[in-house]
Amino acid sequence: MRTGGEAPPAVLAGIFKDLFGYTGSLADAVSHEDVSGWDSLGHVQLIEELETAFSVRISSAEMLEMTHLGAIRGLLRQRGVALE
Amino acid sequence: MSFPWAEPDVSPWDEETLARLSAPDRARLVRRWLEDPAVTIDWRMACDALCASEIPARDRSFLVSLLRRSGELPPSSPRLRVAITGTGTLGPLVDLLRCRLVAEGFSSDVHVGQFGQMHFELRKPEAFWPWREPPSAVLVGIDVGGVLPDRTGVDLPSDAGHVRADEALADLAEALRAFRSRYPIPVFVNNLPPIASGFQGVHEGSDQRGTRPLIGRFNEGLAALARSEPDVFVLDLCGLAAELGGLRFFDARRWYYARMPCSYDGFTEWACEAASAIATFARGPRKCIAVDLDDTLWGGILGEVGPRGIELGQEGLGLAYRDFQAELRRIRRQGVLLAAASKNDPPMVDQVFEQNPQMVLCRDDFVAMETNWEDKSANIRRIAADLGIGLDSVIFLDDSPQERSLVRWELPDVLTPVLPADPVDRPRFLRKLRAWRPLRSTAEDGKRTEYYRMRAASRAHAEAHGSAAAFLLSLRQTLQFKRVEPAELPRLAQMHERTNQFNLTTRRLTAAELADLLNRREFRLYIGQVSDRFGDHGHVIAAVVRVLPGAADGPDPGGVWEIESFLMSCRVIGRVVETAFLQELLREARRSKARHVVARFVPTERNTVAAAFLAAHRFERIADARDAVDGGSTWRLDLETPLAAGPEVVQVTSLAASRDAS
Repeated sequence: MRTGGEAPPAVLAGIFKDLFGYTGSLADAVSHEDVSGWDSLGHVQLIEELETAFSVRISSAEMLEMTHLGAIRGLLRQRGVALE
Repeated sequence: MSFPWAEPDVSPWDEETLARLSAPDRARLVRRWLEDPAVTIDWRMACDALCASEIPARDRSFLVSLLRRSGELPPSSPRLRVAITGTGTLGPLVDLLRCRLVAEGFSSDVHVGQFGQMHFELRKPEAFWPWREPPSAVLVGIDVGGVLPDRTGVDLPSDAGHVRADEALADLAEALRAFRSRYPIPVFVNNLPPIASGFQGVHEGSDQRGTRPLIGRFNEGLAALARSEPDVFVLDLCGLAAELGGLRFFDARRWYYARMPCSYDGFTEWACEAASAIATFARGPRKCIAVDLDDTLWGGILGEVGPRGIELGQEGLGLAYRDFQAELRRIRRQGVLLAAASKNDPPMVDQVFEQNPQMVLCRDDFVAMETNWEDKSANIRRIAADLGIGLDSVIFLDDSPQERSLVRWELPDVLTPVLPADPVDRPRFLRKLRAWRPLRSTAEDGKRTEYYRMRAASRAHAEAHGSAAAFLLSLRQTLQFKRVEPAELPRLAQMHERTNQFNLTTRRLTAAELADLLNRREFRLYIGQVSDRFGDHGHVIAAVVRVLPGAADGPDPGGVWEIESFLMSCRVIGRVVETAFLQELLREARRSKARHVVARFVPTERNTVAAAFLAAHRFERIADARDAVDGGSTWRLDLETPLAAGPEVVQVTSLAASRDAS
């Protein structure tokens, strides 16, 4: 259930801003090492936010792989979210 | 020609609009207001609306991050410091608690301890607190994984299952007592929500070695601990989890990957409950609920259908209205005053109480009944004035959104919640209403309505007696003045929690702090019980005095008495009782050879009634360093000045001299 009718890329940016206070580059290569607060605790919260914002379900195995923006976008595209 | 009210009202923030929307729509609307630079943010309403478990998590975290970046209540808002410690990962509670405290009207600094360090943090808390001063409250967050790691008793004989729970509770109790022996600060600890047991099927309900019986036993022990320890309060997380449902309250992923004891929704509910309890401790509960009658206490308009035509019965909506009344009666019995404000003819209303057998509330449950055709706000003002309480001690319940909006507009200090539109939802609404719930109850609570009815009777008597002096004389008041004994400590603490108007320094001394002062030689605690011809008012006035020693050859060889706390219940304001009590206190001071009595007055928004007290009793203003710090004033009385004769309106009996002078 998306809120506010925002486009998916804006929602993704919004999640990173609200969870981590991060407004920098969201290029595919950007990973948890580049974002302060994106630790194991933050990761669990990030996964939850992605799930509720995009109405997708992410398994534990997938969760462990989504440590950089490229993997996140890959999974969302796979689930049918239009990121372009 | 332009009318003044043709200007558009720039503030869109409105409870009624928000209440009509579904949770996701409400979130969308509030976000729009928050993001609009032309709209001034109402942080209280924003936090109250968005920081709730029904709201989508995405919008909650948006609010939380906005609050972290830029939000604050006005600097004049009271500020609290809260320290969190516990088992499990409690980080999410920090921001959520801050949000919910804003919804309650408080700014706050919230600090959470380290993972797994609870026992250390309770024994040496100053090593972890980021502040020099201790916090206003401590929140202890425990979870089954941290407290009952062996969560079943299957390895024990079938009749020894409780041993595990008892040991776990003893561990926690020891840590809490160690903390409280050094810091008499209120502690809010949660009980344990039930989780899936080790047993399945038919044994679930009967075998005592399962997790659920163990948790039940632990929770009972925790409740007993809170009953015996002053200022330890249990947050009913077990109840919250049941409301939310186990599937929403727990989150396996959060547990396994982050050792969090519950989901984001669970943490949100936890924060709501904790904030409400902490806020109640900080400012006292609301004392009076004023209700509308038509379509609130019963269905239908009394004036149109008559006393027997109203909807009130054993089924359907009639039953819902009866249950609403039953909940109000339950609340009244816990010390809240009930009043009615309704557009009705008084004789008709009397008939309902007398003739309708389905009424649950009776006339005596109400301390005030304003049934007339005037504006509800005027009626509420009158009710508060009659009861001698502030408007910020009143809750107003009315089924009409228009009436509610009007009262909110004219009397912003009155709490006017949005009553559910469907009557079947209202009993539950009352059960969840937190604003009136005190943290501690005493035997006096059940009698509070009676005390106020006595007061009303005495005022009717006053009208018959003309002059104030004649009236006071005819009351035949007596004051019993004595040193506080341990049995009176709960009432003394309750007075410190609740008294806002006649309170010189508004120090919220807790039961533990008062117990400590009772045992220290340099403190004297006094309490007074007042009766008049209408009955016994109970303990309604008290003072805490610190005796500063004097040098034998100095100007004050007998020491100086400083009044740390002087407070009086609003129900006896205006009867000169405070003068009688003070004079007895001054006699005590003279008996102990003190030469001076010092007292301070710290002004607040609510205690202007006490501002002239010290000057009126011949205290003189002196300079003191503390005045600059808290904006108060310091006063001194030379006890060599002859004491004025006691007011003839109060007969004083002092039991103080019978206690050994210490």
